[in-house]
Amino acid sequence: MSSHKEAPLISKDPVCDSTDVYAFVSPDDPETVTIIANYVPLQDPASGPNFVEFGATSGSSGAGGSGPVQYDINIDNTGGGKPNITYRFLFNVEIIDDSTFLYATGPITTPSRAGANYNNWNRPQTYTIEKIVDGVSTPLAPVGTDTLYCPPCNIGPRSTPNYSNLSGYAVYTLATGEKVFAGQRAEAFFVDLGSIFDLGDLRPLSGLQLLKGTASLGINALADKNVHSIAIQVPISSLTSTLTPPTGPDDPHAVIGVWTTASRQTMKMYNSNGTQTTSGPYQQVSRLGSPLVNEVVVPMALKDFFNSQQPVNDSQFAAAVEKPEMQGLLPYLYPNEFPHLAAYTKARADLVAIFATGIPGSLIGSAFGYGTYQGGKVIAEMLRLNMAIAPTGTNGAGTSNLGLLGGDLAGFPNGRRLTDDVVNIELKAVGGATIPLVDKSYTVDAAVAAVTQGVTANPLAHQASFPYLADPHPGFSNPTGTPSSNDNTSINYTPTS
Amino acid sequence: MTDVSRRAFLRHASIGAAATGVVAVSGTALFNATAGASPLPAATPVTGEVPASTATDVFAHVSDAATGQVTVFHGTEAYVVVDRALAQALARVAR
Repeated sequence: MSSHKEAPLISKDPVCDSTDVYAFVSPDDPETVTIIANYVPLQDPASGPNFVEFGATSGSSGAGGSGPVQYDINIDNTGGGKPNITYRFLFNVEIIDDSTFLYATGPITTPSRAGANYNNWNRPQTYTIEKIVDGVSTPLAPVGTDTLYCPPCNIGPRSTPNYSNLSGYAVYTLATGEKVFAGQRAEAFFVDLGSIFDLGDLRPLSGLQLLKGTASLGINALADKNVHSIAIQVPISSLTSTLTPPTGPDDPHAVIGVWTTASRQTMKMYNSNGTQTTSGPYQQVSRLGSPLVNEVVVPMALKDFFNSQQPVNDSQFAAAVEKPEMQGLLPYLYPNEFPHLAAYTKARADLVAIFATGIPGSLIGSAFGYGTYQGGKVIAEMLRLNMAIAPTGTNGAGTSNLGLLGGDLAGFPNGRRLTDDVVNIELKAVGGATIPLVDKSYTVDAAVAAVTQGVTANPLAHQASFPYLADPHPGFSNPTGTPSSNDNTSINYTPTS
Repeated sequence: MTDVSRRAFLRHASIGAAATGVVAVSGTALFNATAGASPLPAATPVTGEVPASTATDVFAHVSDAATGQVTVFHGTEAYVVVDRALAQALARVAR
């Protein structure tokens, strides 16, 4: 979750496995939108000696870069379910000194000049960016340098001291006005994985579960995990189809649909010398827009197929949204708690609006303007954002981590912020909270108000400015624990000097 | 005693199971949908000497020797060639 290891095949290819997409009006720069695409799920910070990196070509150094991967951030600004704008990221990895196994050959520090590799980083990762507009590709150049570096992974105080300096070096401004960052970050998504996938248990409601347990708060399974992020901050005026800022929330051009994809070359050969050769056109293997759709809506047998498809083809998955499996499971797993939901047999037009067409503003209120609706031209699952809705900030007045359900127009499913509790929002929505938007005769079950996974956003995963995701958890101190008392070697050692 | 058998569980989840039936797509249909979304360029069989520099890492996939369809991968491109003699020659090597 929200799309970590969500499909059988992609769960075995982590560097291509998109985990979360965020899109929000930048709280500290509201003339821009920030889009973040996360990959490589459930990273343990202590993951040496081969620390995590993006899928990459290896140049001539034999670095073993997994083969090239096209990482795309796609934007649909016309409602057609196809990308009008794509930011494409391609990564490379090199070995500087091929005689050592070390990732860091000493404390890694920032170089003295822009465009140079970090000092002592033996496996630097760099990347290029293309912007593809209606099929025409243009390379994007950074300002003040000719090479875009990812920062090294956060190993610990000896290998990566002053980590904020290292990550700060990897925030770039492009000549076309965008800011970019690509590299390891703290995992901001929060979910009680252990409980939810134990037959839909919600720890705070365990006493009501079919297989009763003891009620307790939830446990954020991702609290100490890291992730690899591709973040880009784009002027709003360059995201609209008119190339001008929207006039207000009621401007139909204010709405964009966002999703990320990862693609690999069609052919791959494992050579007898331990290297790999790839060939052929790129084939999409991962896709993510709205959280949890492929995870818990699309049936298991179709999940990897879903990952290969463009949003424009999503009418073939509409039935799974109109009659979600979770709608049938909730009344069964929590007997007598969801009687109205159990009796509801109509197609879920509310969920179709949230995930597949956008929400007409009229369903919410005049302040929501045009809503996230894109004209209903196609059924297309994307994360839609009305860019003219002003941000409420991370903890500002009117902010609710329940987003629209909490009366906060700037939160999910109007885009998605790092602190939005998308698990609770979607559980409540599937549980019936949003049915009255389209069916006034429906009475929401009382239990919906109590539905919660019982975990909150991890404050250690956020920062106030771009790329908004905080520095990754260091391997030296994660996982936390008590040093072993069984090893007496160091206790008995007497230094010679 | 609470009925939590697999059958009961799936029965109560049947609203989703019904959806699975609706959206299930056959393997053939999957192939057609994918192929239709991203058609590969067809190439005309060519003869003559190929420069050595362009003859590395060429992959060929014989999907059906009887119809002669061979997909050739090179660089970031794929070409579909319908050449029964080529397909059968490759198939003979693999026999």
